[in-house]
Amino acid sequence: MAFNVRIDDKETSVELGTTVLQAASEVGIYIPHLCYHRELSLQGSCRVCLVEVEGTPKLQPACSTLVCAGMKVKTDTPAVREARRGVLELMTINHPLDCPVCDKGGECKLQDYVFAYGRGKGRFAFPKRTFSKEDIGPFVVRDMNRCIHCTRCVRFASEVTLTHDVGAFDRGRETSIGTYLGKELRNPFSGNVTQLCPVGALTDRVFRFKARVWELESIPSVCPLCPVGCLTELELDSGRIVRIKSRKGGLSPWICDLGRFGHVRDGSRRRKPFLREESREVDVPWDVALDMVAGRFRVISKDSGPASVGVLCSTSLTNEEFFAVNYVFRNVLGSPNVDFRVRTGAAVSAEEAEVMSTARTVQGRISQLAGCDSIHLFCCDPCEETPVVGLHVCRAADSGARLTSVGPRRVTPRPLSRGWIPATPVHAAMLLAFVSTELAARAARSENAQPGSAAAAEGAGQLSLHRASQLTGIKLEELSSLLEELLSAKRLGLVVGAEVFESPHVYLVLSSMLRICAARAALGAGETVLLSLLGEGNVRGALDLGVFPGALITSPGGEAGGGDDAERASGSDASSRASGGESSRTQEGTACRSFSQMLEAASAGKLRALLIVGSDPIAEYADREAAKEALRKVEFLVVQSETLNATAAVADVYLPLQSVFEKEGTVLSLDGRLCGLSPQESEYGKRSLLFDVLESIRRTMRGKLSVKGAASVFREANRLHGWGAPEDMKALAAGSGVELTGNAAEPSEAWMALRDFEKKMRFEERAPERSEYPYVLICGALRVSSWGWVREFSEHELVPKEDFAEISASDAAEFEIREGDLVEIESPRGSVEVRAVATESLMPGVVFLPRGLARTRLNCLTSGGEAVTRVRVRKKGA
Amino acid sequence: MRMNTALAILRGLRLTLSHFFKKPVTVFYPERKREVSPRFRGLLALSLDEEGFEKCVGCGLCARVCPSNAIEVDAAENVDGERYSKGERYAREYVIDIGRCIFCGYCVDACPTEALSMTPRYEMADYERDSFFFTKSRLLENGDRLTEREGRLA
Repeated sequence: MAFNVRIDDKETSVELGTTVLQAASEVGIYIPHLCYHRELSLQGSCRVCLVEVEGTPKLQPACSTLVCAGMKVKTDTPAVREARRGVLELMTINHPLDCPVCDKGGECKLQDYVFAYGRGKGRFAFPKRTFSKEDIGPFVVRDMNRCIHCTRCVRFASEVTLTHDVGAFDRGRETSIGTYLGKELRNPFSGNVTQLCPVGALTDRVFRFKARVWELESIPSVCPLCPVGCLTELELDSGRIVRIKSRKGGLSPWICDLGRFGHVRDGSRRRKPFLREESREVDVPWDVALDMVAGRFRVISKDSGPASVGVLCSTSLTNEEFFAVNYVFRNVLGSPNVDFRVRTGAAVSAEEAEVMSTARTVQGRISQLAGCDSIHLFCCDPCEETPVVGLHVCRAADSGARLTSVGPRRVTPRPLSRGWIPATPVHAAMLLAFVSTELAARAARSENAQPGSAAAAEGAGQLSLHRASQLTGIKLEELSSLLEELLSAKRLGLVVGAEVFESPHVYLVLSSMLRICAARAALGAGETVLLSLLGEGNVRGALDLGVFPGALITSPGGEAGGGDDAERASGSDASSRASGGESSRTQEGTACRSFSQMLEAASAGKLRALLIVGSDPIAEYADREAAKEALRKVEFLVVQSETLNATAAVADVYLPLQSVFEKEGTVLSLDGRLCGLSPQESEYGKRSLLFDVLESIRRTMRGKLSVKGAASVFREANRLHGWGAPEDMKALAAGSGVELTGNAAEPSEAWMALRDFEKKMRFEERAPERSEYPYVLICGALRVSSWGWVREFSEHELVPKEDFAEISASDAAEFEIREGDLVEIESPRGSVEVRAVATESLMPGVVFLPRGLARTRLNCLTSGGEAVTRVRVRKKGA
Repeated sequence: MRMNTALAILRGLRLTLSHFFKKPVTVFYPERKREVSPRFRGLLALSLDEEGFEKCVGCGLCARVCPSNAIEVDAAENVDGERYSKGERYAREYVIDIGRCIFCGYCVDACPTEALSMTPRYEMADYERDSFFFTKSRLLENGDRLTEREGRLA
């Protein structure tokens, strides 16, 4: 229903429920406001937006007055001007008048309003109320003197992040904003309050006093650090990023602290390449190093065949780099050794490759989550893994969606963990398999079942929920209520954690998810939004561009790009045709090697040259000792990385690499949106140094397609993969990204059938109550900070100051471990010492160790082969 | 005719010749220096307050307003125990490239704390390019030498 309203002299028609402020902004009339923010609830406390409404005796706040038919509003009358003047004078009574000192100066709303509407001179002659300034979190500085009590930050914490950790204390002029119990403000979104605060009360610790806002150049970009693909605005001071803000038009007006502060990289970076000669590091010019790398790769691949060279990437590369790596290694060198999964690097079977690729094509949109009426979180903590996905879950929860979750840890923040079923990852996978089978069976029995799904019903006969309950020890009622939830939701969100992709249950979990989608479709239960949080960085790019062994086996359409290339490239040249032929034979013959298989080959002396780009396998590969041994046996190990990490320390050649903020290129978000990066300036220029390495190998091997720079590779990749993006990468960066075509398909009925279900359930039986190693080790991204790259910058505020492991409160009580005790966690492989944190958020029987702690290496405990690592915990000094 | 010519020349030189009988306007510069006007815009200076703190808070408004981009300010935060100015912010680095400066005085007008002022000094010639960069310490030195009257731009 629409109303006609008149604002000043402009007539407009607005919908029911529109406020005067919104209506005015629609017709281009600006009404000043401080407490109002379009993403937060209405407060109406600042009174700056007072306007005259015909027929009401007093002035009305425009932000919280709804329009009604025939309303006549005047926004610029003497009464309104006088009221604004008064309100602003009252605000500045206690507000310090030292804008030149304040870090907000230049972008402060109060400053602008006082200048535009204020009295110009203060009349308050008494002492102002004062508070002391303090850091309320690692990224936020609070200066209560400047606060005008708009409570935007309080509403943000209670409505958006649901963390409820910021509040207003005391009353009247003594009101102060703070954190409850005086705790540190450490939620994954704390940096947003500095952008939200209209005055200089909450300022950004990292940016504070670094530059004045009017000196900054602002360029549009996208956050490359997690696969959500938040649109960002980079603010540059003489070419270097000093601050990152969220950009309008994206998924969410908020960005996480990782995205906001992850650009700070003060670690000691090595800037020059070196060779290792008799354990000495000898600096060499860049050209010499490149020639040497290209020459050795050529000689070794000619001598011992293309299978003797390989490459390990990381997820901090751009799509163009992935494309070039694939082209040079797979097509030019003909090597089957390409991977990016440094942690497990497990072999990918054909069916795993299939399920992973299907899960990518049916991947829902992140924005769809907010409209779900029920969300199931499987072994994930979205607010920690990919925080902005978490915000969408929070928004759904705030608007009444029911939440269920399965996993060893309680989902943060607290309101999201209402339907938590504690289960180890193995049990969770098992439970999901049973529940999905039951759903498929119901679908098969239903009236509109397809004939093909009869097999599902048959298989499900043997697998009842009772059996699931017996195996996992989860109560039957919980299982059946979960089943009902999955069945009854009108729009169901299924979120799968990134850890699943590192576990051996990836087939089981993803196929069960697809089965749930297919069964719900068959039952006509409604839409299902399946979202896998794939991992960190540009992981979707790595998967889509096929920089891992699973890629070539299954998807001829998607990853054949490289293949076409080879054909085209070798079309005219007889010698490269021969090598092209050889390469395809090699790949069919020995299949592709995953990183773990590469390490095995290296131990056997079969992998002689390895290029490692951006990863640190010694610190991250599941079996530290094995990685060390194998890499030592590699004859020619080239490490190209941002810092001198543990692997670079054993490299034969070290080459520098820019950070992901210094390269131009594109990245893919986890739901298949192609976004362009804008680089800051660096001493190496904007072209990735990896292109130089690949180009020199390509030239030595006489490959046809030049990989000199991001722009030409992007054009090639765009064409071959059919992205349908504009040719200009700058235009791509300025926009909100391009949705890839062929996405968001429905999972086919075929997934309802069971394939070797029992065989897939390679579950260990429940551990005996008092075995030698009674705990199951769980690892994961506790904070966004746990992701690999931060580890190299251990001084970064995002990194926990002290390493810690979590154990459940009941286990801690049983073994008399108190918070902060030093404990030794021991597995059959080794042991680490960390501080213990007893928490209610962890199920009993497991120990949680975050990934990528600054000093504790998780891979001292784990081994490559085992699905489950069992540990024991001993109190130190006991 | 000839008389007329001579008269015309003398008439034309009347002003010139009159100066033979006046005191000279110029001074013997290096030996003697001329007193400048009170509002003379000479070398810039920073000053301290009565308690010895820097008046400059590093707000960067001078750099903003400077038409020839001669000023660069790099601010930092005062911490307890190491305090340079009274507010939270101080200028960690403050450089005026006097080689670029056009002595317009906008920076002095913009300065919210009256830290920056123009001195009557005009002797800035030097043999080194680097010596045209006036850092904070040099500008404060300039300020120290100011007399009360010189320090104020009327």
